[in-house]
Amino acid sequence: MLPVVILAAWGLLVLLMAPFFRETGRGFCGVVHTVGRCRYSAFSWPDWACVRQWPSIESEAATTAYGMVHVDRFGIYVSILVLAVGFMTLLFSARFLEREGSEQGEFYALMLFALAGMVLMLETTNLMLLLIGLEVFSLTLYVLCGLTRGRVRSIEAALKYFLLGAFSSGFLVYGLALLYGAAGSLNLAEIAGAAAERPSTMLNIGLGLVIVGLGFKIAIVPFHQWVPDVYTGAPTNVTAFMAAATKTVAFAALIRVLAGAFGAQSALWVPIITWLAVATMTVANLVALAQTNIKRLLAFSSIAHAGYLLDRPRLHSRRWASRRSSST
Amino acid sequence: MAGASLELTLMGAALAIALCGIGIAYVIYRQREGAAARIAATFRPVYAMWRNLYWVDELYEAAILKPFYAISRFSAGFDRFVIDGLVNATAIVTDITGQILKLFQTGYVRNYALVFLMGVVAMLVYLATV
Repeated sequence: MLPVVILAAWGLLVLLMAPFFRETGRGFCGVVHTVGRCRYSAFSWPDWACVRQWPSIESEAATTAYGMVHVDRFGIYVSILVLAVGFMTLLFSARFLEREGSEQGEFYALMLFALAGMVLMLETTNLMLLLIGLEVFSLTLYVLCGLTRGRVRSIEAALKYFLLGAFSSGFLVYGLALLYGAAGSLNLAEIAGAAAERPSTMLNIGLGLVIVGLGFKIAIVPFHQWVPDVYTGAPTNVTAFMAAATKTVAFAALIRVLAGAFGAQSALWVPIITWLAVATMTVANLVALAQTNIKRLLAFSSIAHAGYLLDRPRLHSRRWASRRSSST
Repeated sequence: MAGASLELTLMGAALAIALCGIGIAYVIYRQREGAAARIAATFRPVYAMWRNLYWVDELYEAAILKPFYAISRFSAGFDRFVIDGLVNATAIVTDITGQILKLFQTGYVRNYALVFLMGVVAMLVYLATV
C-alpha cells in the first residue's frame, strides 16, 4: 500500500510546488518528480527481489486493508514494468514539453497520479478497488491527452478519449454490479466460489461486461476505434506512455479477473477472448495497411499487438482451471 | 605379351589410320577437282547421314529440347499468371479489405460508440445463449 501512497503524495507535492517554480526553472519539477520516483523505488526495494522469480499469478501474496490490497509477485512485476515505462517516458518529456510550450509541473504531477492509479489497480483482487485504480489513471490520461491545449487535435483526442472512456466505464460498472448481484461480493476469490457453486447467466454477463470495460483500455477490436485518433492527437510522450503502460495494466487486470475469478469457467470465456484476439489481429493489421500517417499506423500496430497478447490467456486456461479445482 | 608393346602397337595403328584419313581427304578435296562432289552424289544417303552426324542434334532437339522448352514455357506462364496472380490477388484483396475497414474509422465518436455497442451486443448474445 505504501508505494501507492508515496506516488500519490509526491504527485500532490509536485502539483503544489509547480506554481512557485514556473519562472526559476521548469526542469525543477522534473527533478522533484524523479526524486519521488526514487523514493518509491527505495520503499519498494524489498519487493524487487521477487522479480528474479517468475512472476506467476499463483505466487504467495500479502494482503492488508481488510483484504482490499493484495500484493503478489505478479502485481509487483507489472508495477515495475509500468514504472519503467513511465521513467522512459520522462526521459524525453522535459525537452518535448518545453518545445511544445505546455505546462511542465502539471504533467509531472499527473504522471505520478496515473502511476499511482495503475499501481493501485495492480495490487488488488477486489474489483471495486480495481475500478477506482482504473478511473484514477483514466481521468489522469484524459487530461494528459489534452495537455497541449493550443492544438485542436490534442483537445479532440482528450474529448474523444473521455467520451468513449465514460461509455466503456459504464459497461464496466454495470458488469461489476451484475457480478456483485450474482456473487454477493466483489472479491475475486468469492466470485470464483460463487461461479463454481451457482453459475448463472447474470454472472456470465457480468464477466462479459468486465471484458468489455477492460478491452476498451487494452484497445481490442471492436472497442479500438478511439485509438488512432487519440494516439495521433495526444502529445507524443503521453501517447508513448498510454500505448505501453495502459495496455499492460489493463491486460494484467484482465488476467487477474479471468484467472482469479473465472479460472474454472474457461469454457465460457476462452471462445470470447480467442475470437476477440482473432478480430483484433486481423482488422488492425488490415487497416494499418491503408494508413498514410505514421502515428496512425503505429496506433493500429499497437492494437494488433494487443491482439497477439490477448491470445495468450487461452494457453494458460487449463492450468488456471486445474489450480482452481485442486484448491477447492 | 607385354603391355607396353601392345600399347605402342595400338598407338601406331591409330596414327597410321589418322594419317591415311588425312591423305585420302587431301587427295579427294585438293588433288582431284570434283571428286568430292561425285563421291557425295554416289553415296548420297551415307554422305547425308555422316554429314549430319547421324542426326543426333536433330534427334536431341526433337526428343528432349522441344518438350523441355514447352514445359518451361508452360511453367513460366503458370508462374506469371497463376502464382504471381495469386500473390498479387492476396495483396490486392488485403489492400481492398483494409481500405473498406478504414471507412469505419470515421472520426465521429457516435460511430465509434455504435461499433463498440455492436461488439457488446454480440458478446452478450453469445453469453446469454451459452
